[in-house]
Amino acid sequence: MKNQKGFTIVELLTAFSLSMVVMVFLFNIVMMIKENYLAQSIKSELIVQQGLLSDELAHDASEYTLIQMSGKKGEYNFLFQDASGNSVMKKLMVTSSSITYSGNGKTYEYQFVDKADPVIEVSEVKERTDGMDIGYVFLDISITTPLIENEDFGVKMVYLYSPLFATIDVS
Amino acid sequence: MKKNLSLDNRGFLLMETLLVSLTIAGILVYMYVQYSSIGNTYQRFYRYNSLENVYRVETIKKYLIFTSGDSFYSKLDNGEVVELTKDSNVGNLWTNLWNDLKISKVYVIRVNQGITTDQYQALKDKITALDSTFGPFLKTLAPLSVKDAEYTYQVIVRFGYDANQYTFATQHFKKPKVGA
Repeated sequence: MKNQKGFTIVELLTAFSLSMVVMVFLFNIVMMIKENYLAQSIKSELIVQQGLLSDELAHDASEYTLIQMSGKKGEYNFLFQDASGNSVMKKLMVTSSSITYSGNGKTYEYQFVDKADPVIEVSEVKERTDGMDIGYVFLDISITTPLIENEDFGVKMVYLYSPLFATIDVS
Repeated sequence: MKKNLSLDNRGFLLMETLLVSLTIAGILVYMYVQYSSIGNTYQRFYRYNSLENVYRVETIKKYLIFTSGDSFYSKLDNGEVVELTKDSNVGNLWTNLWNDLKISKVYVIRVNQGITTDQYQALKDKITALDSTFGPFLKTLAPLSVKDAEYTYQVIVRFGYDANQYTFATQHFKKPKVGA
C-alpha cells in the first residue's frame, strides 16, 4: 500500500504530454497576439496619419470654393476663395516618399510611421463635369505598407466645383 | 486485494479525466470569448464612421444639397426613407461619384428636432427591413441632441462591394435656404 501513494508512470507521462501540447498551443497564441499587436499598432498610427492628412485636405475642400486647380501627377496648385472673397493658394506635392501641403503661411508634412515603410503614389486623378452646374476633381493618393496587405491608408479627395466659375487643368 | 489495487490504479480515474478536461475546455472557451469581443470592438472601430468615410459622406452630403430639389425633401418630410441607388436621378454626376467613392447603398431620413428615441428607432427599423446589413451600424446611432437640432436630415452610407468588408458612415445636414 505504501508504494501506491504517488502518481503512476502512465499518469505522469500523460500529464506531461498534455502539458506540452497545451504549451505549444499557448506559445503559438502568444506569438500570434504579439504579431497582431505590432501590426495593429502600426495600423493605428497609419490611420491617425490618414486622418490628419484627410483633415488638412478636406478642410479646404469643404470650407473654401475651388476657383482653379492645375498640375500634373504628383504636383498640384489650388486657388480657393474663402467666404469673404479672399484668395487662398495651396500647393500639394506627392512623391514616393513624402506628401507636403503648403500655403497660407502653413505647411503640412506627412509623418512617417516607424517600420511601416509606406509606399506613396497618386494612383488616380480625374475630372468629372456636366459642363453646366457641377463638376468635381477626384484625387486618390494611395499609401500602402508591405506589413499590412490589401489596405490603403491614403485619402480619396473629391473637390466639388462650379464649371461656370472654376478652371481645372489636371492630369 | 493487493493485486486488485495495483491493477485499478494504473491510469486516471474517469472523474479525474472529466474534471480536468472540463476545466481546460472552460478556460479555452473563456479565452476565445474574450478574444472575440476584442476583435468585434476593433472591427467596429475601423468599419463605422472612419475619418476617411466621414469625409466621403461630407462630399455626398454637399452633392445632394446642391442637386436635390423639392421632391427629394418632400419625400423625406413625409417620413419616407429615401433609398438612393447607382441609377437614382440625382444630378448628372451621381453615377460617377457613386463609382469613384465606392458607394454601395445610401439612405436618407428626416431627423427633426425633438425626435424621440422610439421614433428614431422606427426609422432605423425601416432601414434594417430594407437592408439588414445596416442593422449593426444603426444600433450604434442615437437621435440628435437638442444642440444639434438645426440638422434635420441624415444621410447614411455603406461603402464597398464585399459583404464581409462593408464600411459605414453617416452625417447630418439641413435643407438649404431658398436662394442660398
